[in-house]
Amino acid sequence: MSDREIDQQLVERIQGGDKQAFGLLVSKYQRKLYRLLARLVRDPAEVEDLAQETFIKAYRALGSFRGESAFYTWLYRIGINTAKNYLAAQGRRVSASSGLDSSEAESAEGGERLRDLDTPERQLMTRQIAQTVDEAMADLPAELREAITLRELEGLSYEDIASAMGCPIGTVRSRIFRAREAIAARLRPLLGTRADERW
Amino acid sequence: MKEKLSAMFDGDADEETSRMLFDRIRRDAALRGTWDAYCLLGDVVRSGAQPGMEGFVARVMSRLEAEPTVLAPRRTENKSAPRLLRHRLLPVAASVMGVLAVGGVVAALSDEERPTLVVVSPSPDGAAAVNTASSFIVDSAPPRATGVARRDYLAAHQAMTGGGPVPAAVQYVRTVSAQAEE
Repeated sequence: MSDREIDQQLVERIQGGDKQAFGLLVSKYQRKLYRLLARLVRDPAEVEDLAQETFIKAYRALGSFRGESAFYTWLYRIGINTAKNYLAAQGRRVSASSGLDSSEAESAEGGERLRDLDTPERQLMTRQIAQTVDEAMADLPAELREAITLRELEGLSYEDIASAMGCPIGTVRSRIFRAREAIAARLRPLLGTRADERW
Repeated sequence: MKEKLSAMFDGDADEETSRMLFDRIRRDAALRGTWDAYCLLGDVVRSGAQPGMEGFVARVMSRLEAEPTVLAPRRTENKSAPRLLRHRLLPVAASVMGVLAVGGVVAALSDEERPTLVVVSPSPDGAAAVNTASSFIVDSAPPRATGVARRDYLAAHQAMTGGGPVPAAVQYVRTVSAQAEE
């Protein structure tokens, strides 16, 4: 199943009454949405509020979502409209340099530097996460690092990775899983584990 | 289980497996934590530094508790085969039916050997078999020469009278009347 089909399956579960499935979509798209909104609104607290509001609006509207577009495209449009309405209510305008009035918005996945205006705590967390992933990647055995890089960075299919690495698809699947587990083990202490941060 | 989850992230799980995984994730908080971690590391590897969002999902889910549950009727037409039928095959079928219909009309009009319907009045003595009707319809097969002559006559008649309110259809309408001899 493709990424879009997985999202659609989650949407259909939510439409069938499974609220918790929505948490999986929030977890998956929270950072992309945050980066998008951070191009419109400078205050990190406002960005987080708008991100929350966007997800709540999306949940309320999910009953009418029919999958004509990808879920994230639909979500981003809600996010942009939420931010624009918020700025209009404040008497502020979207800056022309945000590029969000064009189709660029749908592919605005980041790459641009996060705003320096972020809180010190959030900046620290950002740095810690990036550093942890970099170190975990560097510590991986070469064949695991190559497999996860070909998958996550290059976006190759298991079949193509198997061909590139000269090994069976089952081996590729296992190597990528082991790489993910090694990195995730280093990340877990940084992820919310307090009772009020579990969902 | 985690290996299957990892494979699902890469599009290497079928629908049944992903359904099973989502059922499991719903009950298993540790597996939800694994989902979170895989999402995060994918974002970092692909896009570099990520905003710290710790506790964000929990805050959204907490707000959702006050929201009514979304319930939407399940779609029955979201599979590819019915969509293919509706968007591709039906127009083709409609075109074929249209061609057949026009072809049928043309073939019927050009068929010289077809029976012609004529209205005749029953004679007083021959009405025994159909004596309840003042007139009846019978089939007859006129000779070819008669048919050609009638067509020529009708074409000349239409050329003289010009088009009616529905010109395209008028040329196919033929009227024949006969008076019964007393």
